[in-house]
Amino acid sequence: MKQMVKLVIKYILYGISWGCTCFVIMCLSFLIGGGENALMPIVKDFARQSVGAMLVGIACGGTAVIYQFNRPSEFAKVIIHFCVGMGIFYPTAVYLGWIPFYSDRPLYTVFQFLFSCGIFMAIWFCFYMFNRNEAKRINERLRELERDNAVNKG
Amino acid sequence: MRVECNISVDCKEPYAVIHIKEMTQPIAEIISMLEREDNGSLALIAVKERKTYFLEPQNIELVRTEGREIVCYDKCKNRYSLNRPLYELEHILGTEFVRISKSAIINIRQIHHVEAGFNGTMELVMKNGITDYISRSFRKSFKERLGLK
Repeated sequence: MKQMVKLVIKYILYGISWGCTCFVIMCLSFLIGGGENALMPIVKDFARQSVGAMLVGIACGGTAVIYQFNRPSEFAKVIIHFCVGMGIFYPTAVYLGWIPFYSDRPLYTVFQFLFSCGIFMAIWFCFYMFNRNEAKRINERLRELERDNAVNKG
Repeated sequence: MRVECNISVDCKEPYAVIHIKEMTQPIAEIISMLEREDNGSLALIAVKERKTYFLEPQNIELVRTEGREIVCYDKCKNRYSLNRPLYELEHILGTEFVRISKSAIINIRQIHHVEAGFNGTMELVMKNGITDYISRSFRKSFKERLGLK
């Protein structure tokens, strides 16, 4: 139990650091792209913006702690991670003005939501590509060990 | 239990005869221990359908927790129950085995392949077809055991 609490705290901190890093990168790109004026709305609302970034970091990165548990099933873990991540990211992004929201343009809102889902999936895809490469290396090593074993037996 | 021990210089090979009414778990463990002492190899006591079996570690592909039970699967995918905790089994089974998660230990020589999961996990497929997941926290040690960085 104590270890589980430690693990959850570790992932929350990991999520906060992810959120803060993304926030700083976003601010930097605003500054480089549009100068100080582009950054002003964020500076004026810094407390809410930074807390929002941390919250999204916890929701998207911190909830990855679920993959460390044996239950539920892997598919259920993906669904929970996705729902919690998107469930917090999208309303926060709309509330803090990261994503413009127009109540009279529902199609635009749907598109924005799908775009956010796309970003989420793109991050997953990057992890998948990294893992696929890792799996390839491991499989090659397994074949090597098998060959060595066969030679030693022969 | 009454125990008789004969020490004699004429005895070339030690052997034991146990007279019992029925096979029980402690007796099975004693037999396993004596066999280990004799030939240096270890047989695990496993139960399947109320029958006790002695399993050689090289025939075991995977040991894991399923619910409250510790079970192992052999090359033919037979499922046996074990009565030792995982940490103890990890120690007993030796270097051919590696822990892949808090709930599973696998025989490194019986891995068929690994597959990348979409969620950042890695699925491991054993030669007998049983699958399990390599947890992120054990991935580093797993790769080290394979000689990968």
